[in-house]
Amino acid sequence: MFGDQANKLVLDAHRTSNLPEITLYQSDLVDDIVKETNDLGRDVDYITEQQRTNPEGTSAEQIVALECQLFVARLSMRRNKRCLLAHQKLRADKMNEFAWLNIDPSDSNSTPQPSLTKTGALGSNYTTRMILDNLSNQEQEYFKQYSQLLVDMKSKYVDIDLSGDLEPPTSIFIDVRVLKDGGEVQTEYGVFNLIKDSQFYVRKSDVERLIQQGYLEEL
Amino acid sequence: MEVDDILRNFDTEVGQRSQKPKVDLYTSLSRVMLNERMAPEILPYQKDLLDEVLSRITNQQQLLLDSHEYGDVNIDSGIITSDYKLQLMIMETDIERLSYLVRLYLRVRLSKLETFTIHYIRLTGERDDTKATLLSDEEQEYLTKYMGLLQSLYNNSILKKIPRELTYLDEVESDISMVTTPDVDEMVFIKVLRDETITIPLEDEDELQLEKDAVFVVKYGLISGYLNIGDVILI
Repeated sequence: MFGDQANKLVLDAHRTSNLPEITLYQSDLVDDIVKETNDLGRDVDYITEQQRTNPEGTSAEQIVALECQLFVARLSMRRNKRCLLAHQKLRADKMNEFAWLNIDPSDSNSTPQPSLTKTGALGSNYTTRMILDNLSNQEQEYFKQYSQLLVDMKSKYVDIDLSGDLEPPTSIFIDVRVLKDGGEVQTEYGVFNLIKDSQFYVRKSDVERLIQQGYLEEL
Repeated sequence: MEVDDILRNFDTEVGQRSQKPKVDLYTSLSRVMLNERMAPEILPYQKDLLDEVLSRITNQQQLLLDSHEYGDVNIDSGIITSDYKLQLMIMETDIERLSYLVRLYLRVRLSKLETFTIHYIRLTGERDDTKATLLSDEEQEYLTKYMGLLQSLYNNSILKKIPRELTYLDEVESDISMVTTPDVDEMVFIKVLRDETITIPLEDEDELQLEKDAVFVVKYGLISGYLNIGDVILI
């Protein structure tokens, strides 16, 4: 039936909205819906054409039938379009969420990202993982440009660090534990090495990026 | 003596902080931030306040850097007491707290712009006076660019493939508009600041009396006017 495909897409979007990652772009499904919509569009054209060229030779009953057909087709087309847009918007929103985290997206399924420790301000369905291959080409382009937009915006407020922690700050220095190895880190107060399971007492603003990227965990 | 000048500055700055103007700045920033955070729609950009806060943060940060340098240079000479470091720590904590408020304020505004993109594009496009005060220049630019991004994403992945008559983004279909707008009927918690009692007429000839210092839960639309002139605040 018309709209079944779109319904699937919406269900998929609904599922995605509760996940901390972005699922694979359903290009087949989207293509099917686009095709269905175009077919419907041709139906509409055909019917209107028929009505125009042949206004008499049809009985009143047939006219009503055609009108109904036309109505349903138009409605289904619009519904499909709205479903497609809603799906795309949801994915765009999730990409935006991710872009604010300053983490590099991973390239493929083979390199699993370390699961991030949740900070309280972000809900459990906040997008914390993104695999570039799951995005369509257009989405990758969008993500790239959105990230650029953020960089531009942030550069206007250098003192504020727009993408910083959204939890109220408590103290300048914090205890952190290293979650994975990652070389040397330079700070104002000297150098420390990221060796797994070691602990440091460091200035929070120095290590905020590392916490976001999953190298460190705040204790 | 440059460094001494800076230190004297620092002392007066610290002195000022305990007095009224500084407290006012901090309180008003918290209020502005909370208002923005709780209101369903975007509020006029508080340009004067934000400019003031931003420039102070920049100054304080510079001062902090200089003071650190001063401390490092004179660490062996005995001029520096342990109190000195503590003072700097307190200063830095204060800067962090201010930046946090500003960050939250700006982020909330951006997220509203992203949620109601088309609505605000329309709103800022049609009337020049709202355009001037509602958004900052940076936000206006962000909004426009973001709309462009979204539009091209929609076009490339969907709209260019489907029949032409479907390509509008602002259709109204069976009374449901495609453009999402802020819900002004949302319930908000308010606190009344004005000395005189505010009376708001309700439907069916009821009235709502807002007394000073009282806390109410009301529909946002009813009090948005008073919010903008600062008679009530959201909490």
